[in-house]
Amino acid sequence: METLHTFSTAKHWGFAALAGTIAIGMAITASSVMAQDGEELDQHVQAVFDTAINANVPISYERIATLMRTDNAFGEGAACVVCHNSAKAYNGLDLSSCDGILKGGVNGTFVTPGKGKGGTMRRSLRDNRMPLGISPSYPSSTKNHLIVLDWIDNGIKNDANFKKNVLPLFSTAGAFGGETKCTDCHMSNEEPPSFHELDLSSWAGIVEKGADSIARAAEGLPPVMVVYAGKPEKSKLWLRISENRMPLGIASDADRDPYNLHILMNWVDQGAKCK
Amino acid sequence: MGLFLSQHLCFAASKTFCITLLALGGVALLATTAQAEPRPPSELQRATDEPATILGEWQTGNTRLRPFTCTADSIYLSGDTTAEMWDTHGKQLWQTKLATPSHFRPRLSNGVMVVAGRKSLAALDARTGKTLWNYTAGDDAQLSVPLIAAGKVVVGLDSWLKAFDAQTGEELWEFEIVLPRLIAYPPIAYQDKWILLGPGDGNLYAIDINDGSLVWKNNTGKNTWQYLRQLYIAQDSRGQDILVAGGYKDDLYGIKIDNGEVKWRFYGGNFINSHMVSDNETYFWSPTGWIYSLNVRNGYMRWRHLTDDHRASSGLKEWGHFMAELIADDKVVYALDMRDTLHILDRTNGDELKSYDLPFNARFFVCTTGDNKTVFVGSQEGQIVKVGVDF
Ligand code: HEC
Ligand code: HEC
Repeated sequence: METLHTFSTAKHWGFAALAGTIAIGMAITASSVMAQDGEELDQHVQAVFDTAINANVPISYERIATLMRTDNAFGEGAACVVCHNSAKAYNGLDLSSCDGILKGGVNGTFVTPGKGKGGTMRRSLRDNRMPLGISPSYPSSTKNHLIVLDWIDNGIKNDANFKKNVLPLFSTAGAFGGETKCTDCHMSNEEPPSFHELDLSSWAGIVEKGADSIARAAEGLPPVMVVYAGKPEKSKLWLRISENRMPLGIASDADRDPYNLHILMNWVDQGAKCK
Repeated sequence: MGLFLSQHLCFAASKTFCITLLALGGVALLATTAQAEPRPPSELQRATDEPATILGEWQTGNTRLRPFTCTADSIYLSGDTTAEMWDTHGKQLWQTKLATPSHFRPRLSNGVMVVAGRKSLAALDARTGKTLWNYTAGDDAQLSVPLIAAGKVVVGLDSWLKAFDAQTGEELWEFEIVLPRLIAYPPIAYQDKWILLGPGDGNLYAIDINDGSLVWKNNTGKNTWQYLRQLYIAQDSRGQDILVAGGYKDDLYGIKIDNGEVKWRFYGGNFINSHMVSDNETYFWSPTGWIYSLNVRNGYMRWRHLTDDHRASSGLKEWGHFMAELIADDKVVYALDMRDTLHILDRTNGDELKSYDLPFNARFFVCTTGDNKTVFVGSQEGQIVKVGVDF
């Protein structure tokens, strides 16, 4: 029999310090525990996954409304409604009402009722902007960004423009901000290993091989395509360099699967009902 | 012994003690174990950055170096163009041109050095650099990281595992995994008797090293790993050998060697790119911003050191991310971050003893000769850099 050790990736000591002002997971159960230290938080997280999320306990909109209004609900950062409300809705996204949540923002629907992974919601809460660790204030429409956008818009061709103007950007330090090159971390099968089995050093790697090709094949699935011709809004390569993770300013090392995200996804899976 | 149940019940009220219920072969034992709680980050010692002492810089024939293999007095290396051997004082002992670039760290055993890339593999005489034999993958085929053990070179070619005589290159046997999936990571030899392999079909295989026949196979099912990365053999809490393996994503596993059963699992919260095992301890960095050390006997955390601290309140300096595999000497762990800072941590408790700024752009690896005085790093321009350390 297997023993699972999950040490929450959250910074326990920080929660201990903040415990007076925030209740982690306050929206979960009446008897929810106030995280005090590592062990307690870990058990708490495990308990929520086991007894609420995996058991698909019905989630009401009221709970979602609470999450949207709570600081640190999805990792350290201000409540969603601070920047997404009816008076000021960044990217047209108003998260202060159920209608707003269902309407979405300038980049499409926020949630797709019945489909927890659909819409911009999950990726906005999980996907770190690249290069990993880049400041959210770094502009996302620099000349280099637009070169990539253009290339995707114009059919992701393996042409002279790609070779001369696009490909070199991924191996240039700071091309999209920060100090690292994309190919420092995404460079095909070699030692040390690449993140996401993603190879940004060739056209074939970017366009044909994509991400997680070996791992997804193990599950009988095709690789994750990171670019789609003419569809930057679907292309992770573009989204990862242009979209900030939410709540704005959250650190890239924050847990990518906080249980509140799964509560939110369950609500969506259950139909995203406004009651 | 088939039945071994271990369940840890930790009470929220008592933070230090967990009641461990052991049902061992049907006999129930009640034992109290203490899984030490990690010290909070603010209690772990931090060193002040200091400039590194560069003791030598020697140009190799490569512009893109792969991790080195170091012994007490030599450095074996490969890169995009050549394989080379150097002594630790800057003398090149030989250099051999490669037919195709090397993508993996060279491996060494019994005087044979295997240098491999995704396209081809060369076995060299480690003393002279003379090429003993070559193997090239077909057009669209791809080689895995190789293993050299028990006089054999074992390497994946797409979904086939192939064994060659290390001296002659004679092909000895081949083994096909169940599904047509890629073998990308190296197998490991167990007691020069079996080959253990966790390729991209989700299975774990034990294969007879002499004839390539299947000894056992364990299909772990969808909810465990897609494939296993680095594999290490260590010992569990009962002194039995255990396989310590990294999953593709966020997990590390302790696996029983006689049947592939998972004994413990540690969830790291984001990709664990590479872990290293030394003396029944494992060390790795997680992009969640921690360097972890676990006891491989039971998967318990020994300590963890915060590397990426976004909380201004703690006042701790942020480290860069890590691509370089961590390396251990008898006393310390070397962790080279992507901002070219070499952190030296105390193996016993994770305290940072030294922090050296390297005055050049480093490739992502460190290697040591075990003298506790020097480490070797590669530069982005293909040099070997000898760095003095003092802790
Ligand atoms: C401190 C302000 C701030 C907070 C807090 C914040 N956001 Fe945002 N959000 C923004 C800004 C600004 C944008 C516009 C894009 C950008 O700057 O990255 C944005 C964009 C978005 C988008 C893209 C919408 C679209 O259609 O383009 C989503 C989705 C989103 N935020 C979700 C959230 C969620 C969920 C939360 C709460 C966890 C949250 N945000 C918290 C400021 C914030
Ligand atoms: C320091 C290492 C690092 C660097 C540098 C880096 N990435 Fe990443 N990248 C990661 C990690 C880790 C993940 C996945 C986990 C996450 O999002 O935290 C990732 C995920 C991605 C993904 C998503 C793949 C998928 O299947 O979802 C894309 C696309 C990507 N990166 C592109 C880039 C680009 C483009 C650059 C350069 C601008 C870049 N990365 C630089 C580490 C890095």
